Amino acid sequence: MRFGLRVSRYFSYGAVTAILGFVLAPVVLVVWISFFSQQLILFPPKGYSLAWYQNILNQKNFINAFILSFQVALAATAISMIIGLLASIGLTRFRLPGKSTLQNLFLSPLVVPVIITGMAMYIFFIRLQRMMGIELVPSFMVLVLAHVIITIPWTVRLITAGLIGINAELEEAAMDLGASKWRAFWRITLPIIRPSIVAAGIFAFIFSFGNLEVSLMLVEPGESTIPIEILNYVFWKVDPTIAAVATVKIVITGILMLIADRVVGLSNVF
Amino acid sequence: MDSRRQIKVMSDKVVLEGLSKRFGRVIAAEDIHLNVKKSELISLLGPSGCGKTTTLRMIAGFIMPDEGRVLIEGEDVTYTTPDKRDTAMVFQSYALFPHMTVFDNVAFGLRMRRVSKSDIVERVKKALTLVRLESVSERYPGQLSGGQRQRVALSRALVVNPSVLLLDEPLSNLDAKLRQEMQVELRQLQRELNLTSIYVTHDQEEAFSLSDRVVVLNEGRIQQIGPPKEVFECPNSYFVADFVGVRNFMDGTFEADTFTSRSGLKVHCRGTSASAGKLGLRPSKIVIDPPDDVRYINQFHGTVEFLKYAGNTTEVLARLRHGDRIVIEVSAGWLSDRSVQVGDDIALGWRREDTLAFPE
Repeated sequence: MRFGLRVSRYFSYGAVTAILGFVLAPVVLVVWISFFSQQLILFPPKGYSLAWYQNILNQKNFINAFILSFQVALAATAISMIIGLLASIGLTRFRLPGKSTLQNLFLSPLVVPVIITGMAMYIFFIRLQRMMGIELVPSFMVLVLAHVIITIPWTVRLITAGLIGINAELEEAAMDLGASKWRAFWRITLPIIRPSIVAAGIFAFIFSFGNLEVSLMLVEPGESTIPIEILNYVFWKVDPTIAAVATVKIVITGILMLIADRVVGLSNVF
Repeated sequence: MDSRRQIKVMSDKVVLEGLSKRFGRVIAAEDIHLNVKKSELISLLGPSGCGKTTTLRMIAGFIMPDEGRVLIEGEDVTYTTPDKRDTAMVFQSYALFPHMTVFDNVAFGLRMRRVSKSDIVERVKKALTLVRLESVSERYPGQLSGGQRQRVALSRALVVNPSVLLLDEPLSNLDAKLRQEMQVELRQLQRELNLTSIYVTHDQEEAFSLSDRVVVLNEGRIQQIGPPKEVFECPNSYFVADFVGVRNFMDGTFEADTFTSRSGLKVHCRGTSASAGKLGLRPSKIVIDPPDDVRYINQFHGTVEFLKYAGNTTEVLARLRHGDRIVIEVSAGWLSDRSVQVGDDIALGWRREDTLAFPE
């Protein structure tokens, strides 16, 4: 091989490794720290221990935060998937005036910085509250609603991609053979786009589970989600406990992504 | 009988009355009148955009016409949804359900009709045997070849015993050899089952070899309806003539049985009352070195400009003394006995009755 070609090859390998390393280093570091035996984080560590994981179980606030994060993510994902499915059907099947505007509308939460979304929703609901005289924020419902809004771009985008890939003639063939429009959808289209729907659900869940800014604005006093708790904790002290919490969250997210890959093949999603 | 309109007869399986459909400003189909007889295979033939697929989809129920009616076995089904019509369609892309086995694909229509499980097994087996695919019933569409998928699509449509079989260019995705074989198989099956079939294609040869009658469409309107032989030998318009292989068109004027082209060429043609229009001539009807025969009343001289070899036939492109370009088709046999080269002077001729006149 020519010298110049070999050099550029090594260079690109090197560059990719460096970038990957840079991106993954914090994650690797956090997981590593979670097993340190000393409370003070020093390198190299004196020993390893699982004590910090044990510690999490003793801290009520972390357990509660995990539970709330789960509940919110589950509820938001379910609602977001239904809306995403309906919106995708509308966008791919019907001739609507201003369709591209609608499409952009559904994707817009991605464009706005998440903290702005959180603040804007809070202010909106406070004002609504004042106008209507009922207690709206903070509440679980509004928190879920906010999470629905930030996850909709994912569900709409993923399910739309799945629907577009389907040959429109498949449903026609089903109807031609005697299936009503609804039966054709249920028996032909839905099973075929199942991977997209599952992927939409997983991504929506991951996104909701990891969201800090929106939850920060809208949780009820005394309640918090995992990202908030992590933030609170590091303001106070930094010890391997928080690394353990973060690792648990990383593991949960990682497992979900693995499942998504098994079901859909992540390379197909992007 | 006007070759475009027909009188309704009780044995007509499908009747189309004045169907029209517009998409925005595009006229997809206009004033379509057609009576499809029981057990006949009729083709809708024409170039892209002529309205043949739109018409077929109105018969199937995927499109509702703006005007007109669709009657199947006497019943007005114009606004009936496809699932309630007794038609079955074979799609160009086959539209096989990828997440179901061949068996389930073929069984789908029967399941929608709530046929009993045992009957389903029997009927699916029969349908697959008809297309010689009994052995692949447990495979998925993705594991089949193009030809096999085509036959599954056909089998799936046949198994529900439709009144009318609709086919939307079902063979266009197959290679030439497979297509020829399937054409014969399809026609034999259709005859065996006495199944009224409506076949859409843009391939003139395919339509002619399969059909009892051919409907030629252009720009949304029917141009001519008739048995293949009739449409081939007596095209009723310049468009149809051009579509079925007539070439050598010349513009000019007619006077009783003489045609004078713009370039001054005088041709003895069939008597017509028209005064101006086009003259058409099939390349295969022109003879090089015509016999000294009063029948070959049209005789001219020309120079060979180009030879287009196509295996069984060769096209000789020549230019007449008057400047008109002319295309002559000669067989491989004829060519092997003579040597014709570019630049040669040739004598050519044709009979009066071979000329086709198309008034303005």
